[in-house]
Amino acid sequence: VPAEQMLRQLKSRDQEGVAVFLSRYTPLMRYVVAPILPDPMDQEECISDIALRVWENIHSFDPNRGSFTTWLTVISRNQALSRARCRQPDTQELNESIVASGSDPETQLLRKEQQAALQKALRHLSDGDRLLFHRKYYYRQSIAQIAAELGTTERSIEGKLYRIRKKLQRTLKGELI
Amino acid sequence: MSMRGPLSNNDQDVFNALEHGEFMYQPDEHIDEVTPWRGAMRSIFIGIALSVLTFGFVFPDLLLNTASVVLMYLGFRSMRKENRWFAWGYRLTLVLMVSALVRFAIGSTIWNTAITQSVPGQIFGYLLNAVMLFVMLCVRQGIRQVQKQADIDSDTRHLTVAMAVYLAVVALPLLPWSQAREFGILGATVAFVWLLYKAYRNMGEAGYAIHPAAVKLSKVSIWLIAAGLAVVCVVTGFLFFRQYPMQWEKKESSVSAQAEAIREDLIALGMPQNIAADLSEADLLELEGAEKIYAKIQSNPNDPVSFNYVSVLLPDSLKLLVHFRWNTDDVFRGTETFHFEYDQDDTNSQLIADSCHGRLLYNKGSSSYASPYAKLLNGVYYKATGYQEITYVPKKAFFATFSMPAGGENCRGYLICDVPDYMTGPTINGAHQLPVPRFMYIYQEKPMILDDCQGVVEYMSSASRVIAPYFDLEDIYVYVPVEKLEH
Repeated sequence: VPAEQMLRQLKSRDQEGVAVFLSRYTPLMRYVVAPILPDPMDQEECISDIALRVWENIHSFDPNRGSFTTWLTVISRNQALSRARCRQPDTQELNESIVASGSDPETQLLRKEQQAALQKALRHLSDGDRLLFHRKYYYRQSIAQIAAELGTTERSIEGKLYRIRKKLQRTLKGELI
Repeated sequence: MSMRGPLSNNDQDVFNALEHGEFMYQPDEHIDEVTPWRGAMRSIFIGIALSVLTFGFVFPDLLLNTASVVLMYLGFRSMRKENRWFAWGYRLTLVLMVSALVRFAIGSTIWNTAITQSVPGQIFGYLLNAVMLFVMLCVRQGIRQVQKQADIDSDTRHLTVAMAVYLAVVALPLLPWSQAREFGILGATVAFVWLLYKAYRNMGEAGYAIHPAAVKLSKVSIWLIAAGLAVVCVVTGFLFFRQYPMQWEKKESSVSAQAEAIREDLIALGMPQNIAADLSEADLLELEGAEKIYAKIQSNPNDPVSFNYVSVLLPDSLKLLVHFRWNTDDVFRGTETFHFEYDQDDTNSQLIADSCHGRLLYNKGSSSYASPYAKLLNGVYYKATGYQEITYVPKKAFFATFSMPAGGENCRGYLICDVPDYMTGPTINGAHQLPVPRFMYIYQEKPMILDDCQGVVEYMSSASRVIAPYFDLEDIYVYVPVEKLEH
């Protein structure tokens, strides 16, 4: 079944579309979720949640703004992060502290500025370095996973990430305050 | 740009926040790129695409080929545990890597064309093409299996067509040369690369379930190892196989009394002393009973070599002695050859070629060294002629191949041959002129000139590509005094 047909089926609330979606995109959802949620049970539950969100929000998907894969990846990551914060005590604690400290408009504005500064600094990296950075900090993949998928050693990835952080640090020059 | 110290607390805090997913921007440009297999598959596809590209020069092509194989190896290395097709692809690229290094080693020797154009060499080449085709089959089947496991309709049409086009790319050069063929090769190559690109783009979401295998050596290490091995092959080839094997020995300090007497007779008849001094005992004995000598000295310091022609009239035969001396020392002389061509029905030249022999000499310090030629070849060769429409014409030719050692001084040598039917030919200025085949000296100007200038080996395989500067001994005549003929 072509992807376009599956999307039409999902939008028209056709259950067959869900079956195709789950069959085809479960590996992608698991791929995005697994680094954030190591527990297989958590992963399965999270994938169910993601499928539900896709079912509920399929009309908000606009193919002109990006591919379905991109859209699904973002949903999957957010859902997994949200679940991770709820499940892991230390993360929850950190999350609470961040949320507590970042709930006021001033902190939110600061975070926004920091994010903009970081994105600007990322543009100074090469495409390969940016991809590595995103694997580590967006997808939260382990060094071992990144190394295997990029066909190199963990040590090499660690070295590259260290250099990327140094480079970012030099570029930012303390902007992330 | 100066290095700052460790991350400030605030910066560190941002990185910590990043690790906990605080920043929610979307790296849209990379989302399609972040898959377990796209990097590995890209490496494989680029490697396959590079395998059909060629510059038409030995070393650039070998570099391209090695880069192609290393890229495929790096890709298959990650995918080797996914399914048996990728595992086979991994094994085959190891075979291709070894073969690439072997080809590097051969390409660095003077035997490159001789080996690659020999029957075993050609069979080896076809086998490599077959292995490459099988590698593509492994890619195709491996992708199909991954797509099947992901419950995605298998779509490897582009790869299937690419395999057929690959066959065309390999087969087209075997056809007789024509402009249409060249355009065909170019078109097939472009189509092949385009098909690979389409096949790569069509892999889709199938690979998210893949678990690439961990590796012990980084990509940089693999590249460095491959480059290091290639350098070792090239250096080994250059050091040990860039010259013909010669049998240099100290020149005999004296000859027998009989040979010495002959030498004195020859000098008395007019043979230059330095030429007579170079003749070996066996060659001196061949010239016993000489009646007349005609020496023609050609010495131009601007020429790479000075030639002296000495015709020695014996009681019932005539011998031609071509003596040559290089005008400069300290020049690399790796693959050199004296040769001449003649028509198939030219029996005189055939007899001259059959009888040609001689030796080479040089001085080092107070000693002189001598060696026979590396090879004396005489036979039918197919000479490529023409520029656009290359045809191969059967020619007979004689080759005397040799190398000279570095550091030799006063490098010189000679060839002696019988001149049959010397009693015919026009008489000019009191001498019969007997045109003998035109000797040519093809030499390797620089050690780093590769492939096209490997003296006789290359010349025989593709004469049109001989770019070595040559010194053409035009209009060599053997002068036979008329009185001898009248006598």
